[in-house]
Parts: sequence; C-alpha cells; structure tokens
Amino acid sequence: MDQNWPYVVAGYTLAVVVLATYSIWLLRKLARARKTASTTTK
Amino acid sequence: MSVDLHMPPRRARPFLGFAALLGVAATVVMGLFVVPKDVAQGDAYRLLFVHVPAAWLSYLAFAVTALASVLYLVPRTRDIRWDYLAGASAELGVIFTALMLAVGSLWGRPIWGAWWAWDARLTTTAILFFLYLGYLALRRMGGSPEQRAMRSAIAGLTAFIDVPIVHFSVTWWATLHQDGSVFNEKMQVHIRDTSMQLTLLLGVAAFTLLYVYLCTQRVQLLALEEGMAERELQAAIEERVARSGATGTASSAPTTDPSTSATTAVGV
Repeated sequence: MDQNWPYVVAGYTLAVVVLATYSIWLLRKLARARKTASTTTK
Repeated sequence: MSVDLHMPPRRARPFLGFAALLGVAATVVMGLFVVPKDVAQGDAYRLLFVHVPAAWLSYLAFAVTALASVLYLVPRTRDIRWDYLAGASAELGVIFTALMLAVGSLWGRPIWGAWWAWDARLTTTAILFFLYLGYLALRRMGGSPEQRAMRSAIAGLTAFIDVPIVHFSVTWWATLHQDGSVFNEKMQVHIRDTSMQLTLLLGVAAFTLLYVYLCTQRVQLLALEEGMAERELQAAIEERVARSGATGTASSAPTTDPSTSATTAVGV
C-alpha cells in the first residue's frame, strides 16, 4: 500500500455505493409498481 | 396497451442479478487485493479496473439507446418498447459516465496532479454526460407517450454523435489523456500481467451483466408505470364522462320550458 491508497479506496467505495443505491432504489420501486398494478387490475 | 417483456426470460433474471453481484464483488476483491502493484503508478492504477469498464459500459448503453431510437423512428419496427429500452439504457449510461468521470478524477489527482483538466477526452466526455442528462430531462416533459417517444428518439440519436468523438478524441487531438491501451498495438506499454488482464475482463463482464440486469428491470418499471398512468387516465375520463352525463341530464330539463330556452342558448 502506498500514499495513493486513499484515492483507490474512495474510488471503489464510490462505485459500490452508487451502483448499490441505484439497484436498491430500482428494485424497490419495481416491487411497489408490481404491487400497485396487481391491486388496480383486480 | 399491453406490454409483455420476456427478454431475458423472467426466471433467468434473478440468476443474472446474482451473477452480476458476484462479478462486481470479485472485481473489487481482485482489483484491491489480488493484482500486483504497478511499477510506474503504484496502487493508483487499481482505479482503472473500475474506470475502464465504466467507460466501455457508457459506450454500450448509449449505443443501445441510439439503436432503440432508430428502431422506434423506422415506421415498420415502431414499438413503444423501443422507447422504454432507449430511456432505461440512457439512464444507466448516465450513471456509468458519472462513475467513469468521478473515478477518473480520483485517479488523475495522484497521477496527473489535478482533479480535472480541460483535455479533449475529459471535455468531450463531460459534454456526453450533459447531453444524456438533457435527454433524460426531455423524457420527463409532458405530452402523450408517442410524442415523448418520438422527440426522445430524435434526441437520443443526435446525442450519440458525441460517442465516436469521445472515443477518437485521444488520437485526433493527442492531449493529456493517454491513447487506448488494451487493443492498441502501437502503444509502448501493454498490460502483460495475466491477473491484470483477467481483472479488467472480469470488470467489463461484471458491469455488462449488471447493465443487462438493471436495464431489463428498468424497462419493466417504465412499462408498468406507463400502464398504470394510462389506466388512471382512462378511469378519470370515464368518471368525467359519467359526471357530465349526469349534470347534462339535470341541466337539460329547464330547456324544455319555452320561456327559458333563449337564456339557455345564450348561456351555452
């Protein structure tokens, strides 16, 4: 590990946080939309 | 409007998501702990295992948006599902472009000594990011789904002009950003270490799987939202028609009286 390690950790953390946040937001919204669609079509 | 999306098959989607998750986790582990330190750049080069796959995925996502836009614009293949695909892919493209710019900036600080430089590659990439951000804003403007799909298809196709400019900017202007190094035979420095090559390929594969998985989910969400909006509109129209029918019957009663017919006519 050299003096650039904090930049590396920041980059990987940012990538994981961005992709995980978007994925969770999308999957939750999709689950809600499926639920609403199934109740309104009944 | 019924929207039926079976690509990839519904049962394969959880496996696709799981494979993407595993791939991203493996890329993180390989990039941070397995690949050796670079002789010239030290540990900073590890950021390229995120930066390069994000860059390739932004090209792919915007290419899919452009292709779906063309398929919508051609009357013979016109289908609202191409518009959903274009929108979903552009959204992911914007995320990957933002990630590429941010991680590139984190790499540039220790290697170039600057967070940002008005270099040809960086500038054209920033333009690309804002072009597709504008495209996403345009999609949120009012109008019918067909109007939105038509104007988005034209915008999605026009914005794609910047993608080859971004790609060839390093050879056309030869500014700070280095030329492509993976498939470039003229480059002095090649990635020779097998673990480095494998990690880069793994990163690209993992991001591609994640893109395919998230894109299919986003397309499905757009279709569901549009279906619900359409049903809500239909219900509102029916309610309005029913209400106007009821008030129309009530208000028509006095006009049968000849003494009030002139007033009614003026009122109308």
